[in-house]
Amino acid sequence: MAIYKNFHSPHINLFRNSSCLSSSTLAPSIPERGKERKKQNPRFFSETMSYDDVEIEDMEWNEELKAFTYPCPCGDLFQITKEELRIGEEIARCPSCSLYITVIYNMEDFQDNKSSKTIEPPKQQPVAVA
Amino acid sequence: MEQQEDEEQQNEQEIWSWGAGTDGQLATGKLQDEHTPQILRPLSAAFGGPITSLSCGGAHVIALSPGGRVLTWGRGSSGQLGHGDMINGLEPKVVKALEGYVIVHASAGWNHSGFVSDDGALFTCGDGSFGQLGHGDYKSQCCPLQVSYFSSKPVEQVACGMRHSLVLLKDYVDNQVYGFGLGKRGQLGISTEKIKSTNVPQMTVGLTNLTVANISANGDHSAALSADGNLYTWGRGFGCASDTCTPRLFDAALSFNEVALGWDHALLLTRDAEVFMLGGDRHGVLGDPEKTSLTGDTSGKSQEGIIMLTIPDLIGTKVQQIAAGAEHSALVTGRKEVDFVSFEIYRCILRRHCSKLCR
Repeated sequence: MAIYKNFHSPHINLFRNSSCLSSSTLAPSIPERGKERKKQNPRFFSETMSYDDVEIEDMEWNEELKAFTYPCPCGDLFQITKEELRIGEEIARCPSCSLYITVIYNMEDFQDNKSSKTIEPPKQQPVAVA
Repeated sequence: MEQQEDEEQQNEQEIWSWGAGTDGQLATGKLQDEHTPQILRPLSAAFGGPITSLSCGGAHVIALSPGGRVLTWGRGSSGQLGHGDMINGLEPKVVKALEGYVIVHASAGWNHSGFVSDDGALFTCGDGSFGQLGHGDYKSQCCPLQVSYFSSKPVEQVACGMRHSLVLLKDYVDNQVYGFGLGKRGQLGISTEKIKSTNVPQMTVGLTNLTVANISANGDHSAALSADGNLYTWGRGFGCASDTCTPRLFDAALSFNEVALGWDHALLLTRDAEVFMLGGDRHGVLGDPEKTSLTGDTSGKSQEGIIMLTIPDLIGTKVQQIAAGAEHSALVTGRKEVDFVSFEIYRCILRRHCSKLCR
């Protein structure tokens, strides 16, 4: 991604972005289930808005976390479990920061009588250690 | 005399890091975030010289020495560090698999890495779930593996995004840029229609009759700068703009030297040392927290939903270098300081890690 080459600045003497708040104090409340998804511009958000709308097929199943995940700009992963999807949750949260995304999926795909095979994205291939 | 000066510079090199650190990406030896820049132990002992470039990915870092050796550290869960395992590295470590090659260019993506040797060979490792390693499969690799597609096409640069990669070939006048990996947002630039993914490199469409000097990838964005300073972008649209499947010339009466892509913004450095920005104004613009609103000077031109902002605090300031993380930016000005541009996430700390090289 970003490449920094041959920096010639002798000092970093300014670090302006010092304001910070813990994720817990900013975590937005979970919207009421069944509430119609906001149709506002998904690319603009405030503290009460989703960082992005992501389709379930673009999320990756993480066996270790037992959750569907999507990259968070903070470096961690947005996460949502099958159980959450089954009960209609549409918010996937990042455990490391206050951001969350709205997951677009068909709730019926996660009901008990349906096989989950059809909706699981391809798992990561095992890696041969050289 | 010159050599002596070089040695002094080597001894004076300082590397600082800050931001998210829970995967070891800050090289502080700790798994914790740092809110202020931390000076690191000199890497020259392990490396045999100063570092000439740093590339920061999702949570890992690739550093190069002038002799073409490679150090990596940070998140290694997909094999992106190239050490033959899938574990995080808290300390910078030489990539042994690349010893014997002179690596002159590297790029760190979300969870994958690309390396280019002086003779034009391309190596990739890390997450390959979307075909972003270019080996013709969807397997991950924990050791850098040469991309055979380019064995007869010398590579100059590689750019790794979230789930895709771009490659710039050496010495080609036309069709020098290739893409592979996820293409759902048009970020591969290989077809006028959206392509889900490809695990084999394919030529981009439309970058003809021009010499490409630089390529960039981040998030689902892609960009190329021509030798004459024209900017081409493709992939996810900035701000509210729609996605673009093939490289599109950014129509501005400006000549660009550098482009730095975030996940929803791009910084553009003109040949007159001015900075412009595409998208990215939703978290507020630059420095003064009191001014984190859309009150930036919007005198820039607007086209198809793309707003070109001039950054208020920087009017009249000569900018030397630009860099962008997912949701934040950094500038090096002639004022001998790093200006940290606050595209703040919920006024929260800049969680994306940063590493800076100072002399």
